[in-house]
Amino acid sequence: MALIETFELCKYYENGTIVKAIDGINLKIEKREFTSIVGPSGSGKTTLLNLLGGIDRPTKGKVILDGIEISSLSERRLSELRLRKIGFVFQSFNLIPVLTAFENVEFVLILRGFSKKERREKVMKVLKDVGLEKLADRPLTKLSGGEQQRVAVARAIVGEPKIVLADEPTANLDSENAIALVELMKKLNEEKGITFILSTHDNRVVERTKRIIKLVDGKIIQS
Amino acid sequence: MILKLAWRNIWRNKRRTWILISAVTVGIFGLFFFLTITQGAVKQAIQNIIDSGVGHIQIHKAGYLKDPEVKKFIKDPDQIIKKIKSPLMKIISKRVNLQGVIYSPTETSPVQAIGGELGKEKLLTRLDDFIIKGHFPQNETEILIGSELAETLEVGLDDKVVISSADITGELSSYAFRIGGIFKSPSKEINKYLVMIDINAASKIAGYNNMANEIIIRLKEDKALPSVLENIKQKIDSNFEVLSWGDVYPALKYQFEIFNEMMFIFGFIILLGATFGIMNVFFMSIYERMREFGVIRAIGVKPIELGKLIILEGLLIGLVSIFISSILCFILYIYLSIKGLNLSIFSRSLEIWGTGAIIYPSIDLPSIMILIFLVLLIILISVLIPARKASKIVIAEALKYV
Repeated sequence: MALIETFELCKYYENGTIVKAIDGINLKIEKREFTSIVGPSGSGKTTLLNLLGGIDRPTKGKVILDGIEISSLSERRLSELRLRKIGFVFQSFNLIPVLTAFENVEFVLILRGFSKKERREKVMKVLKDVGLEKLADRPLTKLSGGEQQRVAVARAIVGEPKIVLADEPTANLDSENAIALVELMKKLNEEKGITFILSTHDNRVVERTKRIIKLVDGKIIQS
Repeated sequence: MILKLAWRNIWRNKRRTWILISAVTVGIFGLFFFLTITQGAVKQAIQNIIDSGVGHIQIHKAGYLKDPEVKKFIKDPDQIIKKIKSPLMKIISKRVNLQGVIYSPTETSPVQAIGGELGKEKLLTRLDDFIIKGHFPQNETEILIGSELAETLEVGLDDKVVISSADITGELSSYAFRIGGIFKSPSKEINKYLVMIDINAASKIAGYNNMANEIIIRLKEDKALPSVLENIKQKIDSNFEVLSWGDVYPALKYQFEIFNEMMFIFGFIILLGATFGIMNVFFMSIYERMREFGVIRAIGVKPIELGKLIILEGLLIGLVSIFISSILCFILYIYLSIKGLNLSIFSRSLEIWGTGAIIYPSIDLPSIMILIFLVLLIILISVLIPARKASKIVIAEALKYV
């Protein structure tokens, strides 16, 4: 069974005229995939990721994640599902600025109800995995862009999700940090078996992924 | 973690938070000042009524209050005093009150005379403290009169006056006194009509023989009034009326009660005005953090949890404001308790109200609790709409906020 499957997935916006951001996408993502979604600006990459991650609802069609049809779940059930099964990495780091690196990662585990001891162990382990164990107690303002994005990756994987969705994760990073981040994700995919879907138009990212989905005008033209 | 997050969030924009805290603190401080002074004024007015000779509790023959005839007397007041005496009472004494006319060689005026046991009356009333000339009566030939009455009668110390009143048989009876002292209390009315004479002199006018028409009680503490009142009612029969000061002056009692309630309504309106200010600040804070809320929701925080975070931020600001204002209010209260608030500029109206020109603050624990509750309630109301707004965000839209 595929980890994610979509059926005739559509997302339309009405802005005087109807804009078809996603237009009838049928897609299967298997476990342990390391996939990139590429396409020009406005092609629907972010919208597709939002639909796959349950942070947006389709106009038509459905998304099945790990056997659950998520498109019709209530907000509360969707929140629970995102918390347990999906990790997110966003373009502009999007961490909670008043918390330290450790606390940002720990936040997910608090929501999951882990004990303090378990949280400490798990957070320190993932911070070690992303090479930030020595910066755990630093406030975010004292971390570089690359380091912050690694904190975001740590936050995304600490709850051991089924899948990590990363929306242009390297867009705000310099070349060196961008490559390091993709290599980190690749390592986590290979060693821990975490499924990654990355939206990007950065070739350095694309060439390191195992599968490439090309999107134009809300439609898949290559998968 | 949510508490930690809320606490750190409110200090993200320090200047805005301090402005908000200052506004709430000033509101609480102002309201506290207003409440303590008005409650103090009411308390002083009540105290002055009690001090003026009304006491905390009065006992009469049934129907005396409605129609204070000299015929309505208590046959054996000493026996009743013995029966009802309690350690909660500071003073218990008998009186012969008279209503009649007072004459000077040149003028006449209506008068209400308290014929009391002079040694006890000195402690029962505060007339002694208000004496501006002479002294408290020391025997049955001396009389203490108010300054307004002295002016009306055109008399001074040592001048002779005569009180005439109906006796027990309905005949007019008179007694001559020498003015031993003149008092000036905060109440104009009292200064105009009230005089103090010895119980023996009053008994002679009324034709009483070891009788009285009032037993008056001063308590050690005001709060003991309801229990003592109830206790006395159980001990004596229905031929007597047992009245609190509020029963004697019901209009005044209700006036004070309404005044107290009005103060809370007024305070509530002030705080309600603050609601819109607080709400506005919270809306600003939410729009600034829209993207962050999108992220928080995306990683799995439920809508209601996000709403709780905003409410918690509001309550924390409220608690900080209450803490700071408590310190300021405490300092103010101590200062005013020592120095008082001099309102002599309004002395004429205060005289009518009977409070005196210097008001000392007073506030009780329930009022403080109500004030704190109101502040927290207002803050809760202020942040509820912003919290609802935050909890209802569309994540995909919020993530696009810059």
